Amino acid sequence: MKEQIADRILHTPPLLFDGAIGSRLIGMGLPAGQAPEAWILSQADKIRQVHEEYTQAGANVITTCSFGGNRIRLKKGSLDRKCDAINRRAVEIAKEASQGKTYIAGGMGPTGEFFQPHGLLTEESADKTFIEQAGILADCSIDFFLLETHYDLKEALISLNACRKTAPSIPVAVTMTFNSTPNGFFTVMGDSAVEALKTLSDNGAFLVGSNCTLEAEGMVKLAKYLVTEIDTPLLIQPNAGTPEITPDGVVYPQKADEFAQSAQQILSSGVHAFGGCCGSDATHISALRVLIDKNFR
Amino acid sequence: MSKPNQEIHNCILDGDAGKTKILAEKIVNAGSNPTEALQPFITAIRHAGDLFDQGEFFLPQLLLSAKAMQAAMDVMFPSSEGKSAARLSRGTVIAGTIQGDIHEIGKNLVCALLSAHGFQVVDLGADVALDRFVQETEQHKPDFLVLSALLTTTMINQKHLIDQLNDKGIRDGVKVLVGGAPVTSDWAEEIGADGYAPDASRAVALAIKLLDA
Repeated sequence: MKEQIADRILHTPPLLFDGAIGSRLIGMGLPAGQAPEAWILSQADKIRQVHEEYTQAGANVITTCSFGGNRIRLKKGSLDRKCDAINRRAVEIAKEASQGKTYIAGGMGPTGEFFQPHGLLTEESADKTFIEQAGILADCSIDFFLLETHYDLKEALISLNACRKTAPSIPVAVTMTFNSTPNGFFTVMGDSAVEALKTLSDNGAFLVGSNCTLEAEGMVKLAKYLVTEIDTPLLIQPNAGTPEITPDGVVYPQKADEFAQSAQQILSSGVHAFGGCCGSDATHISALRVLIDKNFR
Repeated sequence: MSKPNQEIHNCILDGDAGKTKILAEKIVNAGSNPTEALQPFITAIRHAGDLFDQGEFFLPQLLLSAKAMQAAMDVMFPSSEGKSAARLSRGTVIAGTIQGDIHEIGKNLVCALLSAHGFQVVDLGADVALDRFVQETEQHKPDFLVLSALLTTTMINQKHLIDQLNDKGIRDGVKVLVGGAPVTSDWAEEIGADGYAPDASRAVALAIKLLDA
């Protein structure tokens, strides 16, 4: 039986998370602008293949393909009526691919809306939509929730609290996405990285960190800074470079070896968990596996 | 900066739509030429944009400034003026974030600044279907079609839309401008757009340049 995730995270070697799902599915033919969740019910074999690639690459954690699985976001693709089925199937597919070899993280992203007065989102509707998604994922026996790519601390907290009250026994990890400014690292809404992650930790997240947006150099700098400021275990999931446009489409320029070089610096800084975000695939996760095994022999 | 202009500047940067509206009303009541009187408002909203670029402002502040700017625009160029507003108009614009993409902020700023510079803007919102862009272009025959895409996964739809305009034979009647975080001038060239701008103020400069060309 696997050690509980909240205990395992405290030990070495650092936990290896998986890489991107969305950009990988686009590489497999997901049409531009279509939500990956649309494929959960129609192209389960492709989603399973991506999870299997990461499992074989040595990831310790597989994240379910349910990042956009909240009702508000699903509505954009007219998938809101299938909210329950999509989230349930997302967990099933991840488990089929993992075969018990990895932890299963129930992926949850933001609604994509802004709160009033800047947008139309209300605290009540955010709370309701996250409670619904958390309830479905929890019902499917995930090992923990992974709330990713939050850009507004307020929404991240509502999502975190929704998970805590819906399924108090399931641990919650939260990563936010930060920009580098002359004054430090902030979300686009102006939440400072340290303050935001400390607040999430104070509200019960067992693992906090950063994913997406920043290029490697910025993420290395942020990780080194966060380990000195945050006591809670840290998860870092960078993109495979800044996307470039080529005649063949959008390309993330960092190949696995280059990705591993910046990963080495981040791992050396003492983070507890590491994985990839947009543009990363099984080659990147394999390179990280080699790196972690070498560093923590 | 003169005292009244300083006051306008502060109101926009504070994102105080209420006070900004009152200042705009004073200008209108005094019988000033609205186009000339708009300059300090434009200077202020550009300053807000610069502060955002420098990391001094974040989205909430920038959006409040844009709302204050819009409040002034509504007073100084009320849409009910109809024909007189059209006479003031530099040109007509249909704008929107492309299908599959729900990001509105950048596009809203571009619309606000284009309006501020005297363009008549029809904002179709976010996640706008390609068919709708085509339909609106056929119906309104705008000078510009301004397409935003904030995701690497949705920018390809900018190309699809241009292809559709070509198929319908209406591509030559409109200038297509593209923007958004992942978009570059190389991309604009590759998909056959008329221009690309990296930020809202340069989108305005580009539109003016193309109109004068």
